[in-house]
Amino acid sequence: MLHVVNGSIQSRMNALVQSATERFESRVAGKTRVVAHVGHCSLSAGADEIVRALRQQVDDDSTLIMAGCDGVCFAAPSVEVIKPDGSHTYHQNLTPETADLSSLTSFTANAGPEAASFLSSQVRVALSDCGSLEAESIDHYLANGGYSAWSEALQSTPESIIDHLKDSRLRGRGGAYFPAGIKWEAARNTRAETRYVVVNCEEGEPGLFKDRHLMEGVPHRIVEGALIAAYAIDSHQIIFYINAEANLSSQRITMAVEQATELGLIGGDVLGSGFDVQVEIRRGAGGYVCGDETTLLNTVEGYRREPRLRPPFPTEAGLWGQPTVINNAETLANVPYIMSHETDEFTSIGDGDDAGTKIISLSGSVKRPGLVEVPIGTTLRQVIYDIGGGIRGDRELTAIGVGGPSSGVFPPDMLDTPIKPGFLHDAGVMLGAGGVIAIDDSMDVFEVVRNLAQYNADESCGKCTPCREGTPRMVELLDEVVNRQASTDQLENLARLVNETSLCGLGQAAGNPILSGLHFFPDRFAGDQGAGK
Amino acid sequence: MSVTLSVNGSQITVSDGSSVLDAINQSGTYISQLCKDPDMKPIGACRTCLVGIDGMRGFPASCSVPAAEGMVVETETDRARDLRRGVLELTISMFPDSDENTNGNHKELSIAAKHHGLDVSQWEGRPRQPVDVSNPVFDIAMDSCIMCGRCAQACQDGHQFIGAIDILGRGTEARIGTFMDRPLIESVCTTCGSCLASCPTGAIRVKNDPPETDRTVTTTCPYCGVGCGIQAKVDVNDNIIEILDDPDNQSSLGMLCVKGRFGFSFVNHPDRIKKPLIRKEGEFVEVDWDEALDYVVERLAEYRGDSFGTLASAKATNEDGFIQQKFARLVMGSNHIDHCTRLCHSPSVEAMLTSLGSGATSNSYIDYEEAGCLVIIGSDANSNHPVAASRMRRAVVERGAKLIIINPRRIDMCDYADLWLRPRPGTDVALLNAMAKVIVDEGLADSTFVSDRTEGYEEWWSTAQKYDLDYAEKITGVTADDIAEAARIYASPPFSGSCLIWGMGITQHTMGTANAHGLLNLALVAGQLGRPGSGISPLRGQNNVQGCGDSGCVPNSFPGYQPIGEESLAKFQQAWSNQPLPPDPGLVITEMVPAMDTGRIKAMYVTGENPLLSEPDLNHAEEMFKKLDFLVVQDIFMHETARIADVVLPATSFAEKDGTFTNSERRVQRVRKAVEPVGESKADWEIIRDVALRMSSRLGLELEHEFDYSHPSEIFDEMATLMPIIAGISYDRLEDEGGIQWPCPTPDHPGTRFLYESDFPRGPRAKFVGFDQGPVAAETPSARFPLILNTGRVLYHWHGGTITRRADNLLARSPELTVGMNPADGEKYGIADGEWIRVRSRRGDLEARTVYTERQRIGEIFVPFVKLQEHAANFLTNSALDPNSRIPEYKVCAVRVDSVGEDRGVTANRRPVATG
Repeated sequence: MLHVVNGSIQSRMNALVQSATERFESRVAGKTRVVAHVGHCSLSAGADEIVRALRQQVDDDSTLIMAGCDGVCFAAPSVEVIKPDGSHTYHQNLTPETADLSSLTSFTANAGPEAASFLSSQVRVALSDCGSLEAESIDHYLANGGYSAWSEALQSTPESIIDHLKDSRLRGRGGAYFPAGIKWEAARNTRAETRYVVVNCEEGEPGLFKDRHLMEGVPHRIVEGALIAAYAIDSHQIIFYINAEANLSSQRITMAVEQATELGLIGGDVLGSGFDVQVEIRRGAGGYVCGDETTLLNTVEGYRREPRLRPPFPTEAGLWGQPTVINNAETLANVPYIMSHETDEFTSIGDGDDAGTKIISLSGSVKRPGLVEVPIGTTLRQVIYDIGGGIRGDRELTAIGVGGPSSGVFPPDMLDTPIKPGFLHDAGVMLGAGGVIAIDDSMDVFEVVRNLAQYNADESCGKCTPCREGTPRMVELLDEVVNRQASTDQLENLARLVNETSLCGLGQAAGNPILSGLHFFPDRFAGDQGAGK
Repeated sequence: MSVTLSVNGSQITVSDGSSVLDAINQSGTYISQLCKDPDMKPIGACRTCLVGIDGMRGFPASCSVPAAEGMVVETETDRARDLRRGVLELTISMFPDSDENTNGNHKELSIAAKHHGLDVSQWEGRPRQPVDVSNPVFDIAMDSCIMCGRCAQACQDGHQFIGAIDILGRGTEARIGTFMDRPLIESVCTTCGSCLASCPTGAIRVKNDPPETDRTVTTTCPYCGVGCGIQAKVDVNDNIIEILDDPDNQSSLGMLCVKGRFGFSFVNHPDRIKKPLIRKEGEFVEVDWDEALDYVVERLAEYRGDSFGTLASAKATNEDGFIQQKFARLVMGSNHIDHCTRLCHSPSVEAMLTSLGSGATSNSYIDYEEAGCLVIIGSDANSNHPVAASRMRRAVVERGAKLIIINPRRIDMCDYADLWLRPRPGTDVALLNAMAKVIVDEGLADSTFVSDRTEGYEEWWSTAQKYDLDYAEKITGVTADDIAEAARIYASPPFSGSCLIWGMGITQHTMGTANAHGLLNLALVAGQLGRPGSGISPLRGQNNVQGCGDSGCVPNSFPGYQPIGEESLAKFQQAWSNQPLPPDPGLVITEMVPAMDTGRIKAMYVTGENPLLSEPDLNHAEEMFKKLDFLVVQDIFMHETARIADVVLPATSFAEKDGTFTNSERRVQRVRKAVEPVGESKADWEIIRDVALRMSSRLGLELEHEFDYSHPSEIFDEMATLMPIIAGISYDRLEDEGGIQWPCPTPDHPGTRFLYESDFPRGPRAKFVGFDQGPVAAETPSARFPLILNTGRVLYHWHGGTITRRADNLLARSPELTVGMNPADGEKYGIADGEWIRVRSRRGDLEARTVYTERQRIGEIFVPFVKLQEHAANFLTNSALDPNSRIPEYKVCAVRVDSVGEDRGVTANRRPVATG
């Protein structure tokens, strides 16, 4: 926890919190709150119709709160009803017909036991209050302690912030798990006239939806984390780099930035501290590779979407050649918590050196798909069975896709693997940004692997030879292997070649789906049945 | 600082900042490296320089790993070789044809494949995009391209700063292409060939494969004053087959433009004059050298003294120039010697001599790169000094220098400008005075510099202070805000200093000298002189126009700018056998021409110049030259002036002789003989030596020993003893060190990057010289001639075009004369885009093709002064002179345009390509 030293900043902050709280309370006091979970995924399940129906029904005794989606995807569209006495009920899979205010408020029993069970085994730090906080209002966030870490940071020294972050052992949550404190320190220690903070919200890979939920549900938390990063590295410019398709995310982050700017939490002389900081929103240039941090920088500068050589690393020469910290949205969403808590409160979560939680984007054949934030060290079995409720219908789990197209597939006997940074298995399976896809016996593992391989070929930027030329050849070879026109050795050699020789993370992991497939499912890639089941 | 590391067991020491790849290359070990150009930053795309490094995971690309002390690098472990081989196999498999899908003739790729024992790829080839054949000089053949990215890097920011080609598309769709994926010829490509030079597989290649190289000769480009280093590749038949850039040249840093790289075929053009010619009964007759030389001596002997004039060549070497002025002064007893600078920078030289005491560029190209502000006025550097322009763009792109363009015409460099001022032609004096007034009024003047290092301020200020912004806005048409902003940026650049760079747009006016003084006053008042990143640069046109003046081919001073006077006369008489020398300054070329009319000048000896194309008002000039009793022309091609000569002597081109050129940044550089002289041609210095020797013996002057040279180095040695500015330079030093910038007074002096650090050649103080804005031009539009004609150059042609018309590649890129015209004028005068038209002035006419362009303001048209299909702008231009420097007003005259009714151009049936 940072220790307050500047009374003037604190008193300004207190005044802000007080008036925000008053504004929020005046809207909701004595009323029944109907909290609608509106995110990009629940919208596709009809949340907009539910909101439209409810909006027509709210009366003097009730108020509609637009929150982000709470990550209980299987329950969408859903609302939570909170009565003035504090009792609350959860209503899932609503339709315009069942979205009837009087019947929703008359329920006394919790109508969503599945949701409760899905949520109760999670430890939510980054996602805490996601789904209950009003997504488009800074007042609710402030009233709930939001921006207090920012205010405290401004009263502290950058060095102590960085030390505190290093002590927390927070690692980057974008998939590379680089220690965040060391990254900040490196950027701060590089002499430069100006520095940048870039929030990587590209989240381009299939099966991943956590950053979008964070941006939609708790946009201010990411903004707050980014502000603290900027202060810590002496940067005055933050750039949010948001996936080109994530319109709702962009809209809510933009709104959050505007609101925080209006209240003086962003801009010149923040809270009278003398610190100036601006935030700019940029939309992604399209493509998985834009999530690679140097590719991202190229596209922000208007260059072709391809990776740069490292070194120099972005902390030495990043955006426009200046030291730049690029953090994933989830990483920054952890920062306010870390700054406002004692170190061991964070490090006690997780698994020793790998502190904290990880948000898993759980999808596929599980009964309860959604966002699962769990301590690092939690096993895949706990994620899929205890939280995800096991496999849907009467199907059997046949494989687990972990970590997206840059990673690979596990067989069911690897279910007790704990999630952790880096490789979960040296056959090319890693946690990555935390996508977990349960695959049941109605799907063919070969097709899953082929799909991932094709994805990598499609997303190759074309800069380096092994990735550009090798990834499509891998797809060709996969087909030849199952037709017994090529050997699995040839395939494995090519996958290893591409992994070992490519320039950026995409190519260096492009062989993983194949390597893990060959290792764990050898029968599916050769032998009499081939893939022909 | 250096680091030492182990490469395959050998200790290699490299300079700090080197990569592991640099260390491997230095060790002599071969390693494949397809995307790393020796002169450029690593790209990291080809993945064929992978090595093992102790303590590092996997096999990193050695190009992108900084060499570190104590590193242990292994290039030949089995795994590293296997990985490289695997990548090379994927690389080869990019070629579509399965027969090609082997280790064929793909230059660097083939060498790499062979080294890794790779003949045939296990992979089938894949489809590629069609070949882009649109450029007449070279093709981009994607079917041989490995997407290394070097060509794009060479074209883009960081190297040439052109940006015509880049990588388009993703994955296997990736390809080299242009903006909007149009054919190369329709892009901003300038055909500089940097892409071709960097291509490791021959995917970018000239239309006809050159034969095998026998030898390579490092020399200096013969085109503009930038002075780029070139390497001439010569085959066994003594033909230059290819020109490469010279990465070691300190002026060009491995860059070249289209003329330098592709404009060499003139050397062996069939039109070369191969034997001496004497006019007999009206016709030229080939004769042998003896007869020709005897005839020249016989005739010239009649005109010793005041009736003899000579023009030296700014294309020839310093040694050629020196011997020519020595011949004129010592043997012919005449100071009537001049060269083409009279037609380009004489106002600059005149003004600089008055204000500073020296007529040279004060700074170096590196000062452009280090400046915080560049002001480019009256210069289309992209067309005329392309490589210097690349270095200016580097300043803007890489260092954030402010760029101010002052030009009535929208030149390409405007794309990079922070501010573009577009004054009415001929109003520069008012503009520059107003800028100076802003600097003074706003307290931006460098008062220490003004008080300690200048004089004449008060007198100048009494003139300049009248030019307040509103007044200047009225005269120039530039808004007061823009004038003020330009002045502020120039006087207070964001960092470092400011450079003033100018060309013919300043000088070729009747106010030329006044314009140049306006610029110098600006530099003096802002103190932007005499320190790194600042200075004044009249960009020199000809390859050796600086050296031609240096070596004394001017009527008023001896070599090394030693003005003719008692002291210098004594010095040179003593050096040259105590023979009398003409004591009074001679005539400049623009005075010699009228003196032909009056009969004062009766004989002319013209070397490597074509006044009957470069003079203004050509019809009149031809009349004058025809009045001469005797005209000798010494050149490589039969041109307009040679055609009316009595004797034509065949000279060699730059490629066939030794010597030195001095470029725009005062760098003396070696010219080396690459091929044997064509036909019976001889180097200029040899011909003049032979004439001088024969003249001496014919007249009994006993001066034979003064011309007893057997090699240009002997001439240079004599120059060094007589010219303090190059006293420390010798051929040995040029061999060891490359070019050296004068002043270089002693053999241990490193040469001089910029002048005027502490004083000026005229003394401790530079002089302000004020001028008022005069009439904007001698000739202004009228009802009959309603348009203003502006002349200049195009990138693809050199001056009058005598050379570039004979360089196939350049002629192909720009085959006919074009008139740049604003579409609004086209509409007004009923001229369509692409239409063949006639342009007339009071003095003559020409035919050319119209190109609609917004570059020209309404009411102004532009014609380059190259002669194509017998049409040339100088038939139109006005011979009105600047009273101070005697330069003609090429930049402004009044013309009219009329449709011809039929298309007589060479591209009549082809799709026109805009080059203007």
